[in-house]
Amino acid sequence: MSKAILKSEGIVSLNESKFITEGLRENLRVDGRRPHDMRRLNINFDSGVTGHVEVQLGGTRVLTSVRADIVEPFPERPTEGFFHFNVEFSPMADPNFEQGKQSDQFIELGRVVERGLRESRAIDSEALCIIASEKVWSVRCDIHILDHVGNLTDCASIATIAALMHFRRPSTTVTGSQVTVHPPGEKEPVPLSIHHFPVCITFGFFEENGVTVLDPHLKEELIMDGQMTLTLNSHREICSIQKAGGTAVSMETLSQCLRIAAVKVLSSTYSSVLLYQVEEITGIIQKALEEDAAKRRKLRS
Amino acid sequence: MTNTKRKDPPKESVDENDVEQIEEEEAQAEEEEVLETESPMDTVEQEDAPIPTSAIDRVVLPGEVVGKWMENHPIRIGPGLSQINDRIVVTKAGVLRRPITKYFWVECHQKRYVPTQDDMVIGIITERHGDNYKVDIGCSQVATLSILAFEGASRKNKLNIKNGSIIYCRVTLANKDMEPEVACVSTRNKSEGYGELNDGYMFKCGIGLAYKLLRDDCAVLASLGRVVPFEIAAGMNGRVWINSGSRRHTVLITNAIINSEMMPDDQTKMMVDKLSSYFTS
Repeated sequence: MSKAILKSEGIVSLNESKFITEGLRENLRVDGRRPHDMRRLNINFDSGVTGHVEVQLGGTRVLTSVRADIVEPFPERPTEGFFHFNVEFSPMADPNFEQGKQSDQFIELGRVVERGLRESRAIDSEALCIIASEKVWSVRCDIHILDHVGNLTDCASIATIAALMHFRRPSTTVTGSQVTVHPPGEKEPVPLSIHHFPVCITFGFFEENGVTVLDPHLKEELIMDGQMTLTLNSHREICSIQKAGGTAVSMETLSQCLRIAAVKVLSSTYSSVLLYQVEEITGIIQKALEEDAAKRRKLRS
Repeated sequence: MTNTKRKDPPKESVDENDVEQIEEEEAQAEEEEVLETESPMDTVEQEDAPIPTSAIDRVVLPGEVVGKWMENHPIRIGPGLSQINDRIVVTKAGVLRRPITKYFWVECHQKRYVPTQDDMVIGIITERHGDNYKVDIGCSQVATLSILAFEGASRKNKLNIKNGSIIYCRVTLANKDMEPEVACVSTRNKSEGYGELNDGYMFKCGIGLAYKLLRDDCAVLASLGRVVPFEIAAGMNGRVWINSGSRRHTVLITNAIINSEMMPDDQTKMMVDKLSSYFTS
């Protein structure tokens, strides 16, 4: 039985709900994709500054900008720098976003992106230390939601990892207790130390017809019964799994996902949808980074 | 639900109805004008026109003065234009259009809908009360739809529409300080295609595309109509409802229309030609 969604996050009529759920039974999605297809991914770097990335996943658009400042560390952790993740949104992206109201959706989004990076130790806060217990780098990552057409998590995670990989902090020299920060023209800025590249992949579950879809769009997101975000890296390691509420995912479905992942790691083939997507995304990110680097070299010479 | 549906090749459609209606009104207005002032409107010199022909189909920017108000040449201005004293000033960046004589608006890419009286919109019923329905028409406030605003409806004989249903309606009250009101009847108190839309799929698009779909010379609808039969209702609030024989066709039509937004007409035709094999298989 299809249902209409009349919530503050969005409205889906009975007709749309019926069309989407019945279409999924025939493996048909409203944007012409099959259940395990991702929308087209497009990464754009700002030509002027580093760490400024705009990612488009279909119609969803996220801009991430990274910047670094020198601050004093916490006394109990004298050698650790800081990573801050902050999600910004405007009613321009979706009329249902309320200015100044941080909804659960955004807190979860920021958390998932942060956890995937931090707890898998992809980002290294110890490498941000300049002088222990005196000066460390504080890296701030602002995730701006520009257009919301579903699956913000994946788009934001791709934008964040791409921005962190693209970012160059100024080079520093320590002489005694004196720190010199070199401007980009004087000494080549240095990249952050990122050990691997975790990327979020979100699945949506439709209880009624037992369909699992990859990269749900806005309307699917509103009517689906549950979702699960898996974070994997290019070494085929699971970095985190996020499953907050919604329909119960059977052990079978979950272990099937995990088994597929494990098998694929062993056989090192890319045919698994999930791993293939991660490979593909990392490939796209790296390709975009290389292109941008080549462009910069050309400009400099 | 008879004449809203455009079974292609198009015979009767929403936009045509409305255009005809406006033209009729205008014809009447012209007749009256002729009687009063005895100056035939058709022979107006371009220099004397409130908005000169040279300004039409040109990119305009907010603040630009495109014309002047002339008492003996009444015109209708639509979205993106506003009258300040005796000047006609642009309020939105876009292209100035004149679909029919004396009717002007600015076509632009905008997602947010601001209700205007007599707009044909697609709404979703969100609440039901004793005397009225609450309808989401995509603007900042929910609109009110009286249960009596249907053809032939009375207190005893009223329609029962479920929450979450899609309706095609007309904005009857649009005031910036009040909740908008909508009705499922035309100015002649007839249904004329307004009412509940059953089945099919509805998608959101920019206001600009919705206006484009309502034009007579819409390339994408004309070329799609040649390859596949379907029904369409385009609301001026950027919502478009599509229904066709199969779900696969509806998906294809939906995406063809969305992709046509930024395409020139010849490219649109090429795209639809490419798609035609999918419709037959």
